[in-house]
Amino acid sequence: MFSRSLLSTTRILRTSAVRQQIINTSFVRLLSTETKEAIEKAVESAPVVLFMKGTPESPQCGFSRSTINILGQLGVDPEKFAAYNVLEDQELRDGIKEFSEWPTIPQLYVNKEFIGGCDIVTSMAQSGELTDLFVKNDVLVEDEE
Amino acid sequence: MSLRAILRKMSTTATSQIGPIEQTILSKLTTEFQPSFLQIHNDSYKHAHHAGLRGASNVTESHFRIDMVSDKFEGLNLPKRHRLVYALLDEEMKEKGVHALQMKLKTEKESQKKKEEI
Repeated sequence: MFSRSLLSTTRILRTSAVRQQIINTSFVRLLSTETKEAIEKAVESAPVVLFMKGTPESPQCGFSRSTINILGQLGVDPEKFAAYNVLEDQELRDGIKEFSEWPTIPQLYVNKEFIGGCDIVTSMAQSGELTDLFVKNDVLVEDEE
Repeated sequence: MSLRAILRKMSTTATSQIGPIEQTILSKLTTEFQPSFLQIHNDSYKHAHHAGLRGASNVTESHFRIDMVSDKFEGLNLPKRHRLVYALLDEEMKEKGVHALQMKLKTEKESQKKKEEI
């Protein structure tokens, strides 16, 4: 079971409620069909999905923290975002690494496409590519005015 | 970073404090990518107390930062470049307790472009 928390840090984004949504899938073994399906569901659960250590409010690792900060600064819409805390689930923690063929956390997906970890997100944010990608995928909050 | 901090950093890098894992990483990367630029920083001291390393036996060579320029990255997107390095250093990550690699991987052309911008 993965619990999903929406991006909601008051520091960086507007909404503050953390909603938890349970995806009803149980795991059997590492990257068994069940694990794979559960991860696929998680990846599809929102346009922007971050697998991270800790929660958006309370990241448990500097790389997860800086990634979530970037998403907040660029204005990712909390309604279009889901975060999964891999520390809550060992099967997710192991499974996502195999699923993405990526050995570290955090991992960012946009519309089911693997984008990268903290370094890639940081460098794409600096170059402006990440904003372009988010605009193209229509995942940013509308300007208030 | 102040100039003094930079100098201090350079001097610690210069004094042969390279551990066995860093040595392996250096030689694997050099052989595989024939980089025109390669710098490895050992950032393990910054992470020695964090939650992910609780109970870990390797806390002195757990986090590395790799800045590398190689034309082997030509035509590959960033995830593909990172995966090449992860694959090469799979043993270090799975068996030797390397916990995280920060990477800046550029082609020669990209690194030239960056210099011009500065």
